Amino acid sequence: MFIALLAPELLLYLAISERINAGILLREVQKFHPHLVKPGMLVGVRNWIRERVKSKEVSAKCHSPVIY
Amino acid sequence: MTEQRRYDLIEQTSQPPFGLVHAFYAVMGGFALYGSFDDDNPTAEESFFQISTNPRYTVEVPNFDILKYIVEHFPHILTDIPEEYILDQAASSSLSKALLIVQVAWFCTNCASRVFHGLPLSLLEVSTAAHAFCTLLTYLVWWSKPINVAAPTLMREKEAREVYALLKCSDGEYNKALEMAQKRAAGDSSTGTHGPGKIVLAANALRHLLRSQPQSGHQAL
Repeated sequence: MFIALLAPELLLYLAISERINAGILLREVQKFHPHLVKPGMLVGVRNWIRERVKSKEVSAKCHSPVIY
Repeated sequence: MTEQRRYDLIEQTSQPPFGLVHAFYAVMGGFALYGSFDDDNPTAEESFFQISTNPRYTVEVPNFDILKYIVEHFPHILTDIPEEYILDQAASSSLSKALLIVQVAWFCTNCASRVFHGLPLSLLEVSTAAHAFCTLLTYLVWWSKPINVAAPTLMREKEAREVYALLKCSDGEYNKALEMAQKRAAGDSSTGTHGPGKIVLAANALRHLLRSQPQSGHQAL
């Protein structure tokens, strides 16, 4: 907090640096153990939308009611 | 149940996922390896204070290179600690972060709209806006980071102590552990669990490593 008051740019630099390191670690897990990786927020939203779209397509083809 | 079977079970069962929270927690020094390489290993009942003040035990927070090595070869010792446990230790929640971001963003928007309409800004407002903008970006980057965790989480599982022993091995000790692991993997029961505790623990970790990548290990560090 003291650093944030004196030099917010430094705190931002540290935050970005830590985020990059965490991202590297996550990529390592994705590379060697892809089944362990938990999808992030954006990927989760994308998957949710895709599933909705896919389920509607399937329902349209099968002419069956969509159950949500 | 033998150690080999325990590793097999870990690989077969569904494991808790490794997300950005785990990655942040690891990078910020949240996971600590500890152990005693003598025969008297710490028990599960011992508290963090007892372990950290006991001269027989060594506690070490792995650096980034060691973390990458652990993530590559022994990811289950990190994912043994669930995300909920990590978030429970953190002082800030998503709600408090979101509230702060909304307030700071509102202030920044106010300042931007005044500049856009040609209205003056005081020096204090300019300075505060600069701080607020940096804070906004910092909070967005640190969204998944568990903030204000006072003490690291000791990895208490036996596998973690084995990995720690492997990491603390000198070249000579590593060669002995590798030899022991190869013999035990070949079904030679004469080696057993005799010998210095550190080497036996390292050999247990190496047995798992030998199955996946025969020649990887100590040199990777």
